[in-house]
Amino acid sequence: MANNGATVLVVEDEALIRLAIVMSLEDEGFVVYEASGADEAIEQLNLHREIQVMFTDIDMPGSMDGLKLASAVRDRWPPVKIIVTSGHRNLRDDELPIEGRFFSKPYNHVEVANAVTEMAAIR
Amino acid sequence: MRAPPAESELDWVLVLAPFRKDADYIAAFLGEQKVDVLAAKAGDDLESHLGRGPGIIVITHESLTPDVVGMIADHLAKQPDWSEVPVIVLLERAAPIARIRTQLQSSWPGSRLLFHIRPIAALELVNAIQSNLIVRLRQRQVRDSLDREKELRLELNHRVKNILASVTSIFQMTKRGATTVDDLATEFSARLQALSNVHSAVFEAGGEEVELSAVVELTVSPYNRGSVSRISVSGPDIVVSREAGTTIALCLHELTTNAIKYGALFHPDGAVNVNWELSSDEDPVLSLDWREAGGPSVQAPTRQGYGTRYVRASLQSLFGTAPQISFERDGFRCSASGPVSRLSKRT
Repeated sequence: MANNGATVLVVEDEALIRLAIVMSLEDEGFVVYEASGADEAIEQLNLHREIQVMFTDIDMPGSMDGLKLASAVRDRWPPVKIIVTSGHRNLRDDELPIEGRFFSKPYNHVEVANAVTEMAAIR
Repeated sequence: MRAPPAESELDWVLVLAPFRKDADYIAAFLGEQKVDVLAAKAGDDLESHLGRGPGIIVITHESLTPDVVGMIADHLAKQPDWSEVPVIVLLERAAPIARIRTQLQSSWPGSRLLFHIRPIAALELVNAIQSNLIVRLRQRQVRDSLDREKELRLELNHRVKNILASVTSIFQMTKRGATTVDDLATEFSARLQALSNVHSAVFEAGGEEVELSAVVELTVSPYNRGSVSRISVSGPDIVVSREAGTTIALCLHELTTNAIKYGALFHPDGAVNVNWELSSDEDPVLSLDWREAGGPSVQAPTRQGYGTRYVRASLQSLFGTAPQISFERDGFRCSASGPVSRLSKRT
């Protein structure tokens, strides 16, 4: 596997969009877990301690959007690297409330995969 | 005829008449007509009065000092596009009206100026003010519809972005599964067609929700041409949200495509039964069932394709629980159920 099975969690409420990036990342050799919202994401992180990178959408229904989720993950699972995306906002990496990367939607799957590889390699 | 506007919808009037009895006189008879009035006294902070946004300004000849004219000029210049504050000027009979008009028009460019001669009959002033309050009301209706238009443009932008994101994802998935460019083109346009059909159905139904039967019908009708009904459909009338309708249409498209490639619709006498039911609970549960029969003997695929994965993931999101997908020997089956409130909820 090109990516040594690095483990990623994809958080996205739109099933169609989630599935597209999940399948692309799987094709690239990543081990991928999915969540359709912040609560499920936290469940997955509790269940799979090996998750190295979280890729989350910002705009999700419910009490916790992707940015709040990112902050929560930063506090509870500091080693997890974070990538956020949004179709409605355009942020620079340094505008994020946490250390991480930002991609605006629609994103290029190859660029996302490259970012995951880079971030998973940092220890 | 329109009903007279409710009092609370009307603006208030600022009266600038430094001779105390003038202001009180005007305030008193406007008050009798239930018009809100603020009579400014000499030495009042005019800027703060203007800051509260009077709908009409009544100003007497002797108030037209350079300071006051300047402050009103600043105030009028700050008005948003929709707002044109009427200014009623009360002049002395001997006043040089033409000259004053020219001066005020150059100090307050584009303003809505109305001149009256003093002493003014109470009825005349009340009429002037009331008809201008109606003008103000119309201006505020313009403001409201401009605000609404801005909101709609933002909403439209969101929706276009969402659709583009969906189309991008559909393309990624289709590309992944296609072996030739022709396959890619055919499958991609069929999926876009499904998306486009449900969009039209929702639009025709008013834009926010749609009958479930309409969504099912438009997806399966191409297979029910002529006397042969390959896909039979039954279920009660239920209205679902735009998002739920779109998801169901895309799922039915994938199920139909798979049925043609590997399932019941592969055989000329195979058939599909699409059925939905509503429970009689307080929070009714909707059960949606896709059942195939008469196709080739079914075998579970070794690898789950995009279609099945999409159906599984999107129905799980929609219904709140994972759908049951079974590759039974005598026919493929997919059933999903969950509270109907999840499907009618607008997000």
